[in-house]
Amino acid sequence: MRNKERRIIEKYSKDYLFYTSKDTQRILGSIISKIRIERFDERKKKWEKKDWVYDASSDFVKNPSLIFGKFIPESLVDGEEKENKDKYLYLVIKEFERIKNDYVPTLLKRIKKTIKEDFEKNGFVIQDFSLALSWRLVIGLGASHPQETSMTLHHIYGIPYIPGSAIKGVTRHWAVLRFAEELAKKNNLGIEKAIEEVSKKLENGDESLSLFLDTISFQDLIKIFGTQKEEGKVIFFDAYPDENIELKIDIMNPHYPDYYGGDKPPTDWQNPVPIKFLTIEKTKFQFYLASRDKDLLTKAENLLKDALKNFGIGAKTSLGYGVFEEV
Amino acid sequence: MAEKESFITKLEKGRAEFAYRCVEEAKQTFQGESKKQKEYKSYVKKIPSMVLSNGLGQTLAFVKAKSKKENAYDLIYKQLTEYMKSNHTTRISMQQSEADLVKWVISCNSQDYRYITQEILAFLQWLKRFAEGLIEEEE
Repeated sequence: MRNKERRIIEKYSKDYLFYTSKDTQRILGSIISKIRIERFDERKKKWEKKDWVYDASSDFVKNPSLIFGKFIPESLVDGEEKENKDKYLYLVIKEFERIKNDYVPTLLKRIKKTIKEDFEKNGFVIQDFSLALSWRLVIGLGASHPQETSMTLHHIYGIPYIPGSAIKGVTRHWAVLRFAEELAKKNNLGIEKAIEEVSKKLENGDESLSLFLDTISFQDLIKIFGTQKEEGKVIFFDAYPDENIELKIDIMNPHYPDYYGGDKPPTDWQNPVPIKFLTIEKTKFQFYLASRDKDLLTKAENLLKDALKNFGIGAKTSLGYGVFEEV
Repeated sequence: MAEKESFITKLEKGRAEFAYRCVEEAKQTFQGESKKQKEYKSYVKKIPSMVLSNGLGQTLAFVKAKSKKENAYDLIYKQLTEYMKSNHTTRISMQQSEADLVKWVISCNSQDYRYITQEILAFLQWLKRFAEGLIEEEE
Protein backbone atom coordinates (compact mmCIF):
# COMPACT_ATOMS: atom_id res chain seq x y z
CA MET A 1 0.00 0.00 0.00
CA ARG A 2 1.41 3.40 -0.99
CA ASN A 3 1.91 5.93 1.75
CA LYS A 4 -0.08 9.09 1.39
CA GLU A 5 2.20 12.09 1.39
CA ARG A 6 1.69 15.82 1.37
CA ARG A 7 4.02 18.75 1.04
CA ILE A 8 3.47 21.90 3.01
CA ILE A 9 5.38 25.11 2.37
CA GLU A 10 6.63 26.59 5.63
CA LYS A 11 6.15 30.27 6.10
CA TYR A 12 9.34 32.18 5.42
CA SER A 13 11.19 33.97 8.26
CA LYS A 14 9.51 32.02 11.02
CA ASP A 15 11.40 28.82 10.42
CA TYR A 16 14.39 29.74 8.34
CA LEU A 17 16.50 32.75 7.51
CA PHE A 18 19.17 34.04 5.16
CA TYR A 19 22.10 36.01 6.51
CA THR A 20 21.93 38.73 3.91
CA SER A 21 20.54 42.24 3.79
CA LYS A 22 16.84 42.72 4.48
CA ASP A 23 15.70 43.22 0.88
CA THR A 24 17.66 40.23 -0.40
CA GLN A 25 16.14 38.10 2.35
CA ARG A 26 12.66 38.89 1.10
CA ILE A 27 13.55 37.94 -2.46
CA LEU A 28 15.37 34.80 -1.42
CA GLY A 29 12.52 33.84 0.87
CA SER A 30 10.09 34.00 -1.99
CA ILE A 31 12.40 31.96 -4.24
CA ILE A 32 13.73 29.36 -1.84
CA SER A 33 11.11 27.79 0.34
CA LYS A 34 11.26 25.20 3.05
CA ILE A 35 8.89 22.32 2.53
CA ARG A 36 7.60 20.06 5.26
CA ILE A 37 6.83 16.54 4.12
CA GLU A 38 4.07 14.82 6.06
CA ARG A 39 2.80 11.29 5.79
CA PHE A 40 -0.54 9.97 6.85
CA ASP A 41 -0.20 7.44 9.62
CA GLU A 42 -2.88 4.84 8.95
CA ARG A 43 -2.98 3.50 12.48
CA LYS A 44 -2.99 6.79 14.32
CA LYS A 45 -5.26 8.30 11.70
CA LYS A 46 -3.30 11.55 11.53
CA TRP A 47 -0.68 13.38 9.51
CA GLU A 48 2.86 13.22 10.87
CA LYS A 49 5.97 15.13 9.88
CA LYS A 50 8.51 12.82 8.27
CA ASP A 51 11.08 15.04 6.63
CA TRP A 52 11.74 18.43 5.13
CA VAL A 53 13.59 19.87 2.13
CA TYR A 54 14.58 23.20 0.67
CA ASP A 55 13.15 23.86 -2.72
CA ALA A 56 13.84 26.57 -5.24
CA SER A 57 10.83 26.18 -7.41
CA SER A 58 10.87 29.30 -9.49
CA ASP A 59 11.16 29.03 -13.22
CA PHE A 60 14.43 30.87 -13.74
CA VAL A 61 17.91 29.41 -13.46
CA LYS A 62 19.90 30.31 -10.38
CA ASN A 63 23.64 30.27 -9.85
CA PRO A 64 24.59 27.22 -7.76
CA SER A 65 27.82 28.84 -6.64
CA LEU A 66 25.89 31.69 -5.04
CA ILE A 67 23.53 29.35 -3.24
CA PHE A 68 26.52 27.31 -2.16
CA GLY A 69 28.66 30.18 -0.94
CA LYS A 70 26.51 33.19 -0.08
CA PHE A 71 22.82 32.36 0.18
CA ILE A 72 22.79 29.55 2.64
CA PRO A 73 19.42 29.14 4.33
CA GLU A 74 19.67 28.71 8.08
CA SER A 75 17.04 26.72 9.85
CA LEU A 76 15.77 28.34 13.02
CA VAL A 77 13.91 25.35 14.40
CA ASP A 78 15.75 23.72 17.24
CA GLY A 79 16.49 20.03 17.36
CA GLU A 80 17.23 17.94 14.30
CA GLU A 81 16.55 20.78 11.90
CA LYS A 82 19.50 22.77 13.12
CA GLU A 83 21.65 20.33 11.20
CA ASN A 84 20.56 21.40 7.76
CA LYS A 85 23.78 20.95 5.89
CA ASP A 86 22.79 18.01 3.75
CA LYS A 87 19.46 19.68 2.99
CA TYR A 88 21.05 22.74 1.56
CA LEU A 89 23.77 20.80 -0.27
CA TYR A 90 20.93 18.88 -1.80
CA LEU A 91 19.42 22.20 -2.86
CA VAL A 92 22.69 23.13 -4.55
CA ILE A 93 22.67 19.81 -6.41
CA LYS A 94 19.06 20.26 -7.49
CA GLU A 95 19.80 23.72 -8.84
CA PHE A 96 22.83 22.34 -10.57
CA GLU A 97 20.76 19.64 -12.27
CA ARG A 98 18.72 22.44 -13.80
CA ILE A 99 21.61 24.40 -15.28
CA LYS A 100 23.17 21.18 -16.50
CA ASN A 101 20.56 20.86 -19.18
CA ASP A 102 20.24 24.58 -19.65
CA TYR A 103 23.37 26.44 -20.64
CA VAL A 104 26.21 24.16 -19.57
CA PRO A 105 26.59 22.13 -22.80
CA THR A 106 26.81 25.29 -24.93
CA LEU A 107 29.21 26.85 -22.47
CA LEU A 108 31.59 23.89 -22.54
CA LYS A 109 31.60 23.90 -26.34
CA ARG A 110 32.37 27.61 -26.33
CA ILE A 111 35.28 27.24 -23.91
CA LYS A 112 36.74 24.51 -26.09
CA LYS A 113 36.41 26.61 -29.21
CA THR A 114 37.86 29.75 -27.62
CA ILE A 115 40.96 28.06 -26.26
CA LYS A 116 41.67 26.24 -29.49
CA GLU A 117 41.04 29.02 -31.99
CA ASP A 118 42.46 32.00 -30.14
CA PHE A 119 45.69 30.32 -29.19
CA GLU A 120 46.28 28.62 -32.50
CA LYS A 121 45.87 31.98 -34.23
CA ASN A 122 48.70 33.26 -32.09
CA GLY A 123 51.19 30.56 -32.94
CA PHE A 124 50.58 28.21 -30.05
CA VAL A 125 50.22 24.47 -30.29
CA ILE A 126 47.29 23.17 -28.27
CA GLN A 127 47.16 19.76 -26.73
CA ASP A 128 43.87 18.59 -25.32
CA PHE A 129 42.88 15.26 -23.85
CA SER A 130 40.17 14.00 -21.59
CA LEU A 131 40.38 11.68 -18.61
CA ALA A 132 37.61 10.33 -16.43
CA LEU A 133 37.50 10.26 -12.66
CA SER A 134 37.83 6.75 -11.32
CA TRP A 135 35.90 7.71 -8.20
CA ARG A 136 35.25 11.14 -6.77
CA LEU A 137 36.94 14.50 -6.72
CA VAL A 138 36.79 17.47 -4.42
CA ILE A 139 38.73 20.65 -5.16
CA GLY A 140 39.03 23.45 -2.65
CA LEU A 141 37.67 21.50 0.31
CA GLY A 142 39.64 23.69 2.68
CA ALA A 143 38.63 27.05 1.22
CA SER A 144 36.78 29.33 3.60
CA HIS A 145 33.10 28.58 3.83
CA PRO A 146 30.55 29.20 6.60
CA GLN A 147 29.77 25.51 6.72
CA GLU A 148 33.46 24.64 6.79
CA THR A 149 33.58 22.25 3.86
CA SER A 150 33.85 24.06 0.59
CA MET A 151 34.25 23.18 -3.06
CA THR A 152 35.51 25.22 -5.97
CA LEU A 153 32.64 26.19 -8.24
CA HIS A 154 33.08 28.63 -11.08
CA HIS A 155 31.90 31.91 -9.63
CA ILE A 156 30.07 32.97 -12.77
CA TYR A 157 28.86 29.74 -14.33
CA GLY A 158 28.45 27.77 -11.11
CA ILE A 159 30.01 24.63 -12.53
CA PRO A 160 32.78 22.66 -10.84
CA TYR A 161 36.15 23.01 -12.53
CA ILE A 162 39.81 22.43 -11.76
CA PRO A 163 41.82 25.66 -11.68
CA GLY A 164 44.90 25.74 -13.88
CA SER A 165 47.04 26.61 -10.87
CA ALA A 166 46.06 23.34 -9.20
CA ILE A 167 46.83 21.38 -12.37
CA LYS A 168 50.23 22.99 -12.81
CA GLY A 169 51.00 22.57 -9.12
CA VAL A 170 50.21 18.89 -9.01
CA THR A 171 52.19 18.24 -12.21
CA ARG A 172 55.19 20.04 -10.80
CA HIS A 173 54.94 18.20 -7.50
CA TRP A 174 54.75 14.88 -9.32
CA ALA A 175 57.77 15.78 -11.44
CA VAL A 176 59.77 16.70 -8.33
CA LEU A 177 58.92 13.37 -6.73
CA ARG A 178 59.86 11.35 -9.80
CA PHE A 179 63.13 13.20 -10.35
CA ALA A 180 64.00 12.92 -6.68
CA GLU A 181 63.55 9.18 -7.00
CA GLU A 182 66.01 9.10 -9.88
CA LEU A 183 68.48 11.28 -7.98
CA ALA A 184 68.23 9.11 -4.88
CA LYS A 185 69.00 6.02 -6.97
CA LYS A 186 71.86 7.68 -8.79
CA ASN A 187 73.65 9.31 -5.86
CA ASN A 188 72.56 6.95 -3.13
CA LEU A 189 70.76 9.66 -1.17
CA GLY A 190 67.84 9.49 1.22
CA ILE A 191 64.57 10.36 -0.53
CA GLU A 192 63.87 13.43 1.66
CA LYS A 193 67.28 14.89 0.89
CA ALA A 194 66.77 14.22 -2.80
CA ILE A 195 63.34 15.89 -2.83
CA GLU A 196 64.80 18.93 -1.12
CA GLU A 197 67.63 19.21 -3.61
CA VAL A 198 65.43 18.74 -6.68
CA SER A 199 62.79 21.24 -5.60
CA LYS A 200 65.38 23.83 -4.64
CA LYS A 201 67.15 23.52 -7.96
CA LEU A 202 63.88 23.63 -9.89
CA GLU A 203 62.86 26.77 -8.02
CA ASN A 204 66.11 28.55 -8.72
CA GLY A 205 66.41 27.32 -12.29
CA ASP A 206 69.73 25.69 -11.47
CA GLU A 207 70.60 23.59 -14.53
CA SER A 208 73.46 21.69 -12.96
CA LEU A 209 71.48 18.47 -12.43
CA SER A 210 71.90 16.01 -15.24
CA LEU A 211 68.92 13.74 -14.69
CA PHE A 212 66.57 12.04 -17.08
CA LEU A 213 63.13 10.57 -16.74
CA ASP A 214 62.32 8.65 -19.91
CA THR A 215 63.11 11.40 -22.43
CA ILE A 216 62.51 14.36 -20.13
CA SER A 217 65.60 16.11 -18.84
CA PHE A 218 65.76 18.27 -15.73
CA GLN A 219 66.46 21.27 -17.97
CA ASP A 220 63.12 20.59 -19.70
CA LEU A 221 61.38 20.78 -16.33
CA ILE A 222 62.83 24.20 -15.64
CA LYS A 223 61.58 25.36 -19.04
CA ILE A 224 58.11 23.87 -18.58
CA PHE A 225 57.40 25.32 -15.13
CA GLY A 226 59.47 28.48 -15.27
CA THR A 227 61.31 30.27 -12.49
CA GLN A 228 61.31 33.66 -10.81
CA LYS A 229 63.37 34.99 -13.70
CA GLU A 230 61.66 33.38 -16.63
CA GLU A 231 58.07 32.36 -17.23
CA GLY A 232 57.16 28.75 -17.95
CA LYS A 233 56.96 27.77 -21.59
CA VAL A 234 53.82 25.68 -21.17
CA ILE A 235 50.41 27.12 -20.27
CA PHE A 236 48.17 25.03 -18.06
CA PHE A 237 44.49 25.86 -18.55
CA ASP A 238 41.59 25.32 -16.19
CA ALA A 239 40.02 21.93 -16.79
CA TYR A 240 36.28 21.79 -17.32
CA PRO A 241 33.99 18.81 -17.04
CA ASP A 242 32.96 17.23 -20.28
CA GLU A 243 29.41 16.00 -20.93
CA ASN A 244 27.65 14.78 -17.85
CA ILE A 245 28.54 16.23 -14.43
CA GLU A 246 27.51 14.29 -11.33
CA LEU A 247 27.49 16.08 -7.98
CA LYS A 248 27.14 13.92 -4.90
CA ILE A 249 27.00 14.51 -1.16
CA ASP A 250 29.71 12.66 0.68
CA ILE A 251 30.58 12.33 4.35
CA MET A 252 33.69 12.12 6.44
CA ASN A 253 33.41 10.84 9.94
CA PRO A 254 36.24 11.46 12.41
CA HIS A 255 35.86 8.73 15.02
CA TYR A 256 37.90 10.45 17.72
CA PRO A 257 36.84 14.09 17.67
CA ASP A 258 38.08 14.81 21.20
CA TYR A 259 41.46 13.37 20.35
CA TYR A 260 41.93 15.41 17.16
CA GLY A 261 40.49 18.59 18.54
CA GLY A 262 41.61 18.42 22.13
CA ASP A 263 43.60 16.61 24.71
CA LYS A 264 41.81 13.31 25.24
CA PRO A 265 43.19 9.93 24.18
CA PRO A 266 41.60 8.28 21.12
CA THR A 267 39.04 6.12 22.87
CA ASP A 268 36.12 4.21 21.42
CA TRP A 269 33.45 5.86 23.52
CA GLN A 270 33.58 9.18 21.70
CA ASN A 271 30.69 10.06 19.43
CA PRO A 272 31.57 10.61 15.79
CA VAL A 273 29.80 13.51 14.13
CA PRO A 274 29.48 12.97 10.37
CA ILE A 275 30.62 15.98 8.31
CA LYS A 276 29.00 16.36 4.93
CA PHE A 277 30.71 17.75 1.88
CA LEU A 278 30.14 18.11 -1.83
CA THR A 279 31.98 16.01 -4.42
CA ILE A 280 32.03 15.37 -8.16
CA GLU A 281 31.61 11.73 -9.12
CA LYS A 282 32.79 9.74 -12.15
CA THR A 283 32.91 12.76 -14.40
CA LYS A 284 34.99 13.22 -17.52
CA PHE A 285 37.26 16.27 -17.55
CA GLN A 286 38.82 18.02 -20.50
CA PHE A 287 42.40 19.22 -19.99
CA TYR A 288 44.19 21.76 -22.17
CA LEU A 289 47.84 22.65 -22.49
CA ALA A 290 49.38 25.18 -24.83
CA SER A 291 52.94 26.00 -25.82
CA ARG A 292 54.98 27.33 -28.70
CA ASP A 293 57.28 24.34 -28.33
CA LYS A 294 55.71 21.07 -29.47
CA ASP A 295 58.35 18.93 -27.83
CA LEU A 296 57.96 20.51 -24.39
CA LEU A 297 54.20 20.28 -24.76
CA THR A 298 54.28 16.51 -25.25
CA LYS A 299 56.57 16.13 -22.25
CA ALA A 300 54.30 18.26 -20.07
CA GLU A 301 51.30 16.27 -21.21
CA ASN A 302 52.92 12.99 -20.25
CA LEU A 303 53.85 14.33 -16.82
CA LEU A 304 50.36 15.67 -16.25
CA LYS A 305 48.69 12.42 -17.29
CA ASP A 306 50.97 10.44 -15.00
CA ALA A 307 50.27 12.77 -12.11
CA LEU A 308 46.51 12.55 -12.59
CA LYS A 309 46.54 8.77 -12.89
CA ASN A 310 48.94 7.98 -10.08
CA PHE A 311 48.88 10.87 -7.66
CA GLY A 312 45.48 12.49 -7.95
CA ILE A 313 44.40 16.09 -7.60
CA GLY A 314 42.42 17.95 -4.96
CA ALA A 315 41.65 16.83 -1.43
CA LYS A 316 41.80 13.34 0.05
CA THR A 317 43.99 11.88 -2.68
CA SER A 318 45.36 9.28 -0.28
CA LEU A 319 41.84 7.85 -0.10
CA GLY A 320 41.58 7.59 -3.87
CA TYR A 321 39.77 10.87 -4.45
CA GLY A 322 40.83 12.91 -7.45
CA VAL A 323 42.49 10.04 -9.30
CA PHE A 324 41.80 9.80 -13.04
CA GLU A 325 41.85 7.00 -15.59
CA GLU A 326 41.86 6.78 -19.37
CA VAL A 327 38.43 6.98 -20.91
CA MET B 1 51.77 67.05 12.69
CA ALA B 2 49.90 69.22 10.25
CA GLU B 3 47.13 71.35 11.66
CA LYS B 4 44.65 70.52 8.94
CA GLU B 5 44.26 66.88 8.44
CA SER B 6 42.15 65.59 5.64
CA PHE B 7 39.02 63.71 6.53
CA ILE B 8 40.43 60.45 5.24
CA THR B 9 43.61 60.71 7.32
CA LYS B 10 41.59 61.33 10.48
CA LEU B 11 39.38 58.42 9.64
CA GLU B 12 42.23 56.00 9.09
CA LYS B 13 44.00 57.23 12.22
CA GLY B 14 40.89 56.66 14.26
CA ARG B 15 40.51 53.17 12.90
CA ALA B 16 44.14 52.39 13.49
CA GLU B 17 44.00 53.60 17.06
CA PHE B 18 40.89 51.60 17.76
CA ALA B 19 42.40 48.49 16.22
CA TYR B 20 45.57 48.94 18.26
CA ARG B 21 43.54 49.08 21.46
CA CYS B 22 41.65 45.97 20.40
CA VAL B 23 44.82 43.97 19.92
CA GLU B 24 46.14 45.23 23.25
CA GLU B 25 42.88 44.11 24.81
CA ALA B 26 43.26 40.68 23.22
CA LYS B 27 46.75 40.40 24.68
CA GLN B 28 45.46 41.40 28.11
CA THR B 29 42.51 39.04 27.99
CA PHE B 30 44.58 36.07 26.88
CA GLN B 31 47.58 36.82 29.01
CA GLY B 32 49.66 33.69 29.48
CA GLU B 33 47.51 31.80 26.98
CA SER B 34 49.65 31.83 23.89
CA LYS B 35 47.41 29.33 22.14
CA LYS B 36 44.46 31.72 22.32
CA GLN B 37 46.61 34.65 21.25
CA LYS B 38 47.71 32.70 18.21
CA GLU B 39 44.12 31.77 17.45
CA TYR B 40 43.10 35.41 17.69
CA LYS B 41 45.78 36.34 15.20
CA SER B 42 44.93 33.63 12.70
CA TYR B 43 41.17 34.27 12.89
CA VAL B 44 41.67 37.98 12.32
CA LYS B 45 43.68 37.08 9.23
CA LYS B 46 41.09 34.62 8.02
CA ILE B 47 37.92 36.68 8.44
CA PRO B 48 38.47 39.27 5.65
CA SER B 49 38.76 36.59 2.99
CA MET B 50 35.65 34.95 4.35
CA VAL B 51 33.77 38.24 4.07
CA LEU B 52 34.81 38.55 0.45
CA SER B 53 33.92 35.04 -0.56
CA ASN B 54 30.79 34.43 1.51
CA GLY B 55 29.37 37.82 2.36
CA LEU B 56 29.34 39.68 5.65
CA GLY B 57 26.16 38.26 7.19
CA GLN B 58 27.23 34.71 6.56
CA THR B 59 30.67 35.38 8.05
CA LEU B 60 29.36 37.10 11.15
CA ALA B 61 26.90 34.28 11.69
CA PHE B 62 29.84 31.89 11.47
CA VAL B 63 31.92 33.87 13.97
CA LYS B 64 28.96 34.07 16.32
CA ALA B 65 28.27 30.35 16.04
CA LYS B 66 31.91 29.65 16.86
CA SER B 67 32.10 31.94 19.88
CA LYS B 68 32.06 30.25 23.21
CA LYS B 69 32.71 32.00 26.47
CA GLU B 70 36.19 33.50 26.58
CA ASN B 71 37.46 32.22 23.24
CA ALA B 72 39.07 34.23 20.46
CA TYR B 73 36.00 34.30 18.19
CA ASP B 74 33.95 35.66 21.06
CA LEU B 75 36.37 38.52 21.59
CA ILE B 76 36.55 39.33 17.87
CA TYR B 77 32.76 39.45 17.66
CA LYS B 78 32.63 41.75 20.65
CA GLN B 79 35.30 44.04 19.20
CA LEU B 80 33.60 44.26 15.83
CA THR B 81 30.40 45.24 17.60
CA GLU B 82 32.21 47.89 19.63
CA TYR B 83 33.85 49.24 16.52
CA MET B 84 30.58 49.57 14.65
CA LYS B 85 29.15 51.44 17.64
CA SER B 86 32.16 53.74 17.96
CA ASN B 87 32.47 57.13 16.28
CA HIS B 88 35.35 56.02 14.07
CA THR B 89 33.11 54.77 11.32
CA THR B 90 31.98 56.70 8.31
CA ARG B 91 28.65 56.66 6.47
CA ILE B 92 27.02 54.31 8.92
CA SER B 93 27.22 53.34 12.54
CA MET B 94 25.38 51.06 14.87
CA GLN B 95 22.97 52.53 17.40
CA GLN B 96 23.99 52.01 21.01
CA SER B 97 20.60 50.47 21.65
CA GLU B 98 21.23 47.67 19.16
CA ALA B 99 22.17 44.50 20.96
CA ASP B 100 23.49 42.03 18.46
CA LEU B 101 25.76 42.78 15.51
CA VAL B 102 24.58 40.12 13.10
CA LYS B 103 20.92 40.81 13.88
CA TRP B 104 21.47 44.45 13.09
CA VAL B 105 23.42 43.72 9.91
CA ILE B 106 20.71 41.53 8.44
CA SER B 107 18.03 44.05 9.32
CA CYS B 108 19.66 46.67 7.09
CA ASN B 109 18.94 47.24 3.41
CA SER B 110 21.39 46.42 0.61
CA GLN B 111 23.05 49.80 0.52
CA ASP B 112 23.70 49.97 4.24
CA TYR B 113 24.80 46.35 4.19
CA ARG B 114 27.45 47.22 1.64
CA TYR B 115 28.60 50.20 3.70
CA ILE B 116 28.97 48.02 6.77
CA THR B 117 30.94 45.49 4.74
CA GLN B 118 33.35 48.20 3.57
CA GLU B 119 33.63 49.52 7.09
CA ILE B 120 34.38 46.18 8.69
CA LEU B 121 36.92 45.28 6.01
CA ALA B 122 38.70 48.62 6.51
CA PHE B 123 38.84 48.04 10.24
CA LEU B 124 40.01 44.44 9.88
CA GLN B 125 42.89 45.58 7.73
CA TRP B 126 44.29 47.52 10.67
CA LEU B 127 43.42 44.82 13.14
CA LYS B 128 45.33 42.33 11.00
CA ARG B 129 48.40 44.54 10.83
CA PHE B 130 48.55 45.11 14.57
CA ALA B 131 47.79 41.50 15.40
CA GLU B 132 50.70 40.47 13.21
CA GLY B 133 52.97 43.05 14.78
CA LEU B 134 52.04 42.79 18.44
CA ILE B 135 51.38 39.12 18.98
CA GLU B 136 54.71 37.36 18.86
CA GLU B 137 55.35 33.99 17.38
CA GLU B 138 56.88 31.65 19.88
CA GLU B 139 60.19 30.11 19.02
